[in-house]
Amino acid sequence: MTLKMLSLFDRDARWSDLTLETSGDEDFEIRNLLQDSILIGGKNFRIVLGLKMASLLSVSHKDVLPYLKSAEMLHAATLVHDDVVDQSWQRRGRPSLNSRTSNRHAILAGDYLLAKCIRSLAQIDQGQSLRDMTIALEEIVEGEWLQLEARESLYIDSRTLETIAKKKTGALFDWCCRAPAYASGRKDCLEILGDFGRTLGLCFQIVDDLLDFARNTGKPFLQDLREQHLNFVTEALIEDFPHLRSSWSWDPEAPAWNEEQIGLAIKRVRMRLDMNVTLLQNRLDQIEKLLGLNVSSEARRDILDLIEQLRGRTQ
Amino acid sequence: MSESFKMSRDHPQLNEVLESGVSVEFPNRRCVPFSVQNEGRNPVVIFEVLTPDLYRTSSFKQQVKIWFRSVRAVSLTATLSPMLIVLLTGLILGLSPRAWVGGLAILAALLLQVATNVLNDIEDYRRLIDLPGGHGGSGVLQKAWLTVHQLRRFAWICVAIALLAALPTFLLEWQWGIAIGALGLVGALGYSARPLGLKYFALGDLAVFFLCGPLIAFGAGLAYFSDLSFDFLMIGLVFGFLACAILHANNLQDIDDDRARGAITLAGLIGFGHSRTLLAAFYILAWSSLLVFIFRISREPSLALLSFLPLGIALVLTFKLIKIVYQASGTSSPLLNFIRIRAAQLHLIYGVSLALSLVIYGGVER
Repeated sequence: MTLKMLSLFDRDARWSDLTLETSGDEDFEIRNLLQDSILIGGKNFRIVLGLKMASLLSVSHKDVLPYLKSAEMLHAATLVHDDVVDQSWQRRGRPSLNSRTSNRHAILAGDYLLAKCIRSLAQIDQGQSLRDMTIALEEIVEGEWLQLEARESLYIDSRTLETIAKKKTGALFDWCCRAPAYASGRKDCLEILGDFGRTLGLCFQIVDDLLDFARNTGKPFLQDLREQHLNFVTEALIEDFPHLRSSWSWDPEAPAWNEEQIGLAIKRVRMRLDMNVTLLQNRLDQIEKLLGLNVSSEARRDILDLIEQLRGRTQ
Repeated sequence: MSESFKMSRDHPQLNEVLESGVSVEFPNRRCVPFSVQNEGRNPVVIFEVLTPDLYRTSSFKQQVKIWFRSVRAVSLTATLSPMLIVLLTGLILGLSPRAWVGGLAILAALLLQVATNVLNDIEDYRRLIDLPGGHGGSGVLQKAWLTVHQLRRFAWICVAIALLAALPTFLLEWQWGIAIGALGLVGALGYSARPLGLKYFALGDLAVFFLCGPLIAFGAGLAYFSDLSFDFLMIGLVFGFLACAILHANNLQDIDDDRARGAITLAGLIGFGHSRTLLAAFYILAWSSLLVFIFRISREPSLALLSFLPLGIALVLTFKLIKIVYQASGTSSPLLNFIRIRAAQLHLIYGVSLALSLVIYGGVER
């Protein structure tokens, strides 16, 4: 499947599954287990995003792909650990790794993937990309930690949710958007590419939160409520109607709000998403300016399409 | 797709757009700053243009709610509590109060604090420190429910009424009264408003300590009893430290944001780790000052300690608050969300339980 044909949010369309490379005669059980679980069935969004940014920067996909595979491996490792933290028994519609084995095994498998990720990246670049990858990992963990602290609390504001999203999701998007710059040595645009990725990560999370309130999207209805997390929508709801705190219920069958209240909150969050999309377009203009004549307008359109697809999911 | 526009940070019309909430491109809709972006050396402000259903209020009740929210009523305990405690202490000490002068002085102090709160929100908004979704302020500007123009007019009306209400104290106690009043006025207005803007130069904690502590306690003592007793100073110290703790708790959470937006706070200067130690120190100092106060006013210390048992609730809440702050992983921790509200609630409960204790003590001693 070519990159151009790839529709990111089409359930059947995805980049080919990741394969863990072996070194020598290694045929360890963890490897097989991972290969048969977390490494299949994902959309590999980070790879696609990085490749689109590579097109924008006119960097060959071949050069940047090894970087992006490392990022996807890191993402897979965090998902394995996430399922342990959240005690989730399903991942991508299949039994999660911790349910197939045990929490102890899943933690070790996640660690193994992390090691693989660092090793594969170190084989191609021991400089800034590796350093930045460890920073991204730190931030992902911080984001998860903050989310854990926020659990069950009705006193969360949107700034905190934004921080969590930018760390948990945005940090790796940030790194993936920079990947073409690492591969091509264009250090002058690292910051702005990273900023673009981080804002995209935030948009991704906002869309996810909006989808929590839509049926038939593939995501369980009101899952965040069930997991006792405030998200961007429920935060906006409480911000407008603080008295709801006193009658709050985490039971999705008996929510504290009425249709009008949640409608207003969803509208506010949609506007917030729109504004962040505006920021993304603004950043893209700046990237274009910074790159000067090298920019490929087709690649730019491709990225705008991706943003539009993301935004369009909530309509 | 929502409408938006951007303006350079140094655009001559930026202030006007911030103040009126209206831009030339969208004259019939309100706009609010959404984000400040660095575009090379030239930062730009991205404005969000809101649809009227998001900010128009349909009923009088809603309007009242919005105005009530704008004054941040929960913080008024910082003014009310020390004034109430000074009154009760004076009564226990056998002083005769001047009811109407004292009542008007309470009104003056409350209105001055309302004006301070509102002017503070305006200044944070104009300096683009409080953007939508942030921790600070009442949020009415960020939601475009009210405009800077409306709030500023309201603040000045409050100041004018406050001055009128304080007039009897000024006339009766013209030397000390005017001195304390002038210091209060300069401190309250200069807390955030230009040209002083004390809070933006790490002087906010100090200003709040004096304004909501010794100054208000002495002011109250003067208005009620024409007296500047040392006991009133002790009350001032207790509530000064408690008020300082509210501000510091708030700044503790805002360390990163304030640094990013160029606002210098004490918490920002000393960092998260030292800041939470300082917050704990404020509470220790408040409780220590209270102990000195109790031993000073009581003839029977053991009896006094029994009477002050209701303060146990405040003590438990103090430990709880400090525990939360020490459990927080950093400035971004969700545990710190609304910590300033918790600190303000503690201030209120402290005030109420201290008042109750004084009433019990007064009754028992009699």
